[in-house]
This record gives sequence, structure tokens and C-alpha cells, in this order.
Amino acid sequence: MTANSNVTLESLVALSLAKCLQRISRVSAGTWQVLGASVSSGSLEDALKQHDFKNSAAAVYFNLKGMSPLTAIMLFDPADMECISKCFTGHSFPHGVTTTMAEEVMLTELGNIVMNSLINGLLNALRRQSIPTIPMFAEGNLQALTAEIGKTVNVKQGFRIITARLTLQSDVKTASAEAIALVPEELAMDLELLQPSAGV
Amino acid sequence: MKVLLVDDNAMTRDMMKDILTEMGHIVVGEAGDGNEAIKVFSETHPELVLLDMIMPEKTGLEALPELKAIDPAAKIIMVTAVQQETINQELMDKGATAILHKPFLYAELEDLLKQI
Repeated sequence: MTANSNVTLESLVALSLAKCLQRISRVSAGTWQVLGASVSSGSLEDALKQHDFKNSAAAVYFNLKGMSPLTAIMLFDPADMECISKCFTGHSFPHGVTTTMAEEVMLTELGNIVMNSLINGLLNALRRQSIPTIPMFAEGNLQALTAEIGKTVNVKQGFRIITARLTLQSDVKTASAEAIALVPEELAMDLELLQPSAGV
Repeated sequence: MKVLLVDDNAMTRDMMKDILTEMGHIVVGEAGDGNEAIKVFSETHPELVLLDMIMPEKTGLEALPELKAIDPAAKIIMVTAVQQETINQELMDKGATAILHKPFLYAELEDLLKQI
């Protein structure tokens, strides 16, 4: 993995997500932006550590199987629920002690849209296709999320971790979230070989 | 138009039902997965199906050709966040009338329904 290859992956993800967030900004009540993208190597737990676990985190995730095995995860701070719901649905969901079913559904829908955008960008660049699983939801601290998401991902496997940090703003409230792709090394190398004409 | 709503999320179906009813359409049935969609489609004979792609049991991608086999004239709009170019092509090849990518404005859905 070289600095240049990371730039390829970062650009691919940032471009794909920027288009998606521009679209979400147009149809929703908030302003959504990509703060930046980064690439590192590590395990599922290393990927989840990209989130600042001040509180329990809410995670939405899905997997792709077959020729292009990937896992996409989106991490939110449930304390930001009021801002997230205002930005996405136009209505504030005042967050209580626990995440309600309506909040879970909203985060799952939002995560599904953003994660698909992340994955679509990678697969379109490779001219491959893969249907994601149904998005799943989990909430908890780092260990709890690692255990839960680890039911569908090999926790010992090393991945190329592509992380995009997102920000969302409505009125005076601001929140952030992370969209993460766990890319097996072989697939990451295929992506690095892409030339700019392939959409990077 | 008589519409069948297919989505594994009941809240999404409720929301879409309200919007379509407000637009003057009649929701004749709802389904939460591809298998249920085929059953309800056969019972209700809708003119239009709004078909989610990622669902348990049978996906929208799998259900699409089966629905078209039952009624080739039925209009089927795929509603999905998946925007993979080869899958888009596959959906159109299998008989989708259009693909509505999430997220969308209700006005975009309304425009699309006027066009088809």
C-alpha cells in the first residue's frame, strides 16, 4: 500500500459520497458534507475505533458476498439523534435513554443510502456488481459492536479500511458520522490499479 | 392507478401509501418481501408496483421477472439505494419500467408516475 494508492481509494470514496450527500442535502432539511476520507489497514475493531466512543454508538451495516466481498458500516452517536433526524426527515426526534424503533428505522434508512453510495462508487469503478444484504442495526460500546458486527465479519481478518467522515448541519445544530468500508486486500489492490478514466 | 407497495419496512410502506393516496392513486395491496409480492400481485392485479430491491426471502431483483411473467403489461418501478451500473442494466433488461433511486423528492415520484 503506497501513499498514491491510498489517494486513489480516498478520491473514489470522497467523490461518490459527495454526490450522495449533495443529493441528500437537496431532498432533506439539512446540509450534508464529506469532511474527509482516509485509508488505513486493520481489523474490524480497528475500523470501529475510528469512531469517538464518548457514548454508545449506533451502527448500521451490511455485507456484500461473492466476487466482491465487502462490509460497509455507518456509525452515529445516538446523542446526535435530534440533529440527525431534523437533518434527514425535517422533524426532530428528541432522544431518550434508549433508541426507539422509529429512530432505528430512520438511521437504518439513512445508513443504507450512504453505505450504498460508498459501495456503488467502488463497484462501478471495478465494473462489478453485488447485491448487499439487508442493512442491520446494532448499538453499544466498541466491544459490543465488534461482537455484534463480528457475527458477519471475520474479526481476525485484516482489511483495507476506507473511512469517510461526514458532517450534517441543521439550524444551529451540527453532528458527525463515519461511513466505513472494510475492503479485502485483494479487492483493494484491484481498485488501486484503476486509471483516472475508470472514474477515479 | 392501482398500486402495489412492496418494501420490507412497514413504516416506509405507510409513508408511501399516504403520499400515493394524496396523489390520487389507490394502494390495492402491500407486501414485505418478494414472495409475498407475487402472491398479492396475483390477487390484486395492480397497474403499478413500487418494488424495493433489498428484502428478505426473495429480493426485488428476483421477484421482478416473476411479476412480469404474470402480467407483462404491469408497470414496475424499482425503488432502491443501489446504483450499480450493471444492476441498473439488469433491472431494465428484466422489465423494470423505471428505477427510482433513494433518496428522492415526492415531486420526483409524482413526475415519474405522470410519465409512465
